[in-house]
Amino acid sequence: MSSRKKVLLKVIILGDSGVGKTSLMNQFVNKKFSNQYKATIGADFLTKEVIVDDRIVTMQIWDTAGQERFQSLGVAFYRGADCCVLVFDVTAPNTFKSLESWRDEFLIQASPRDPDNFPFVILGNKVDLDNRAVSAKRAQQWCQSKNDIPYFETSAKEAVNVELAFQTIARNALAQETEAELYNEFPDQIKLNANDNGRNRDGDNCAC
Amino acid sequence: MAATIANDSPKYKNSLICCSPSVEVTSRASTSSTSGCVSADESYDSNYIPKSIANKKLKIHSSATKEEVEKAINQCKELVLSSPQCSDERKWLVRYLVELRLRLEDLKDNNGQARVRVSIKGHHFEQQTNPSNRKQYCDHCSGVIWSIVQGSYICSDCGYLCHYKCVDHICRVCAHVVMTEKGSFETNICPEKGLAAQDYKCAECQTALTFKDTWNEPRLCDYTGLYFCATCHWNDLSAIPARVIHNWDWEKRYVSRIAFQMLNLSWTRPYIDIENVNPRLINFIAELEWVHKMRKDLEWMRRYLCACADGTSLLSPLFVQLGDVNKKYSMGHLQAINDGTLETQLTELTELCRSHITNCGLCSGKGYICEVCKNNEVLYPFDSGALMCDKCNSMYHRGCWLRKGQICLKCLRLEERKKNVDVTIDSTDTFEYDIDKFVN
Repeated sequence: MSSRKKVLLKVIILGDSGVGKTSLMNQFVNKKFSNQYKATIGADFLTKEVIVDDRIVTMQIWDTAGQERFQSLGVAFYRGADCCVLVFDVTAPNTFKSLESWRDEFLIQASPRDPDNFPFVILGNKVDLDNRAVSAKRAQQWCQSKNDIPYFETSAKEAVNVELAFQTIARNALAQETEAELYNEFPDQIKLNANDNGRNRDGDNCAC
Repeated sequence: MAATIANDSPKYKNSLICCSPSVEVTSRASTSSTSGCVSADESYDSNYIPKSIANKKLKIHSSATKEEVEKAINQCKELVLSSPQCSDERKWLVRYLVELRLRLEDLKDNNGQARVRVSIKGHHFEQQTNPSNRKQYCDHCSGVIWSIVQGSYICSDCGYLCHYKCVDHICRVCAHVVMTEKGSFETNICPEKGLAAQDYKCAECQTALTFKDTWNEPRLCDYTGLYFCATCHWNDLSAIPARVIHNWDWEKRYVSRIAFQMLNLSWTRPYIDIENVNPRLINFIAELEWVHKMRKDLEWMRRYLCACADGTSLLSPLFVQLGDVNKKYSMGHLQAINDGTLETQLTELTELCRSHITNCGLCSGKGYICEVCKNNEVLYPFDSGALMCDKCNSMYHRGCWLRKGQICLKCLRLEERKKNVDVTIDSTDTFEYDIDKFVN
């Protein structure tokens, strides 16, 4: 019933400016990388169809501008998100530190039903660079302390782990989506039954 | 209830001013900013679209093609870059950009067909597939939605209903977005400023308003204190939070559609901090005082129940709402206090919890024995006949406390011991003192 419906997963990528959100998305969707930096304006998205557990789902990946703080995108933008991807730059410790506030702000704005179990994925980007400043262990520890968020070390330039990371994102988002669907469909089902009853009674009463 | 107006009345056409890409709009915006009218100090002003979006070139009509939308996107991007950072203007431009992008995607998906989902002004519209049997009215034009022949959209967040044809022209920002971002109710009673402050225009759709016009009289919204036209104000009745907080006045008053939707959405959200806004109300309304005291008791009970395996099952939703440290109330709670239902619910709840705590071995083990009479009766912080010392957390019967001259015996003991320790410090070396400090 629900599997036949077209599944659209809304994924939101957040993180400080210049950590490589757009590059990661481009690498995943278009398999392209450009060395040139161009700031994203507002928000943009790309879609890609992927197969998760034998189901075809469309990922709507929203890339946001690192400079735009939350209030400008607002409640309406974050509503209905199925997964949130937080990106930091392994060569810039500040971008790692601000993950916490990105996460908190996201939860405030999106106000998901179950904030503790909302699927996040953390990506430590630019691992191809030599001047690394945030160790994998430190990032891993932080992720574990936040209810075991999956953590990946990626490089949008060399396409390291990008595919794998987005597979995980899609799977976790799908799990969230189906849960939400179950929750949503309850009142409808009751309504349908009521309609059916009414129709049956009509049938009984019909003279022909 | 809802005003039934002819579908295509001239008034309805007028009400689209806000959306029509005309020179009027820009000139209006500029005059209003110079005269410092509503937009300057009005409470949900930041939720009105700033003038730059009413720009002629940016506006797209309902049957816009892909190229037109793409063009609009590029223009919007330029406007975002030229607008100051962290300004309201930028905020709305970014939101508009997001909506345009969704629109473009939609055009790619199904060419020319009615859109399944529309996001505009914070709304998330979905096609209404099985409309209810009740007669429905369009929130935009206030015309009837003839569900058999006319398609309609409903916002999944705020419940805004409108015709297919109206969706691109709506003026109202989603009430869910407005309330969630504001996070509180208007606490001034009907903050009316008069029609002049609104430029003699409807606060929502900008239709011209005068009291001379008997066809479209200005209607005052008791919640926002603003005047609306008949399409944006359907004389819905609602109790007003500000009047309740200040006057405990539950009489229902006329409110605009947006206020009605906002109030309905936020009715059960805990927005009202009575202790801060109007602490005197608690003394005047006996029921409220009783509930307020009960909440403090519940907070104590919660500490017992949280630490008990059987007790956690007693933490019902009502308990979680009221037994929390932040003492905010929702309008729903206050209403239940007023009509007495909360009192009965709370009495049942506290009795249930009390009987668990007194009978459960684990919970009752954490009770207290009176410091004075030391008899076997177990005391709890939520007992009305018991008192707790706020310094050392020891407990007394109210009677024992009064008999002993309202002095905490344990505190006295502690003080005496401290004195003794002080004396010993003088004689012994400081090393021992350090240990003593930890023991204390």
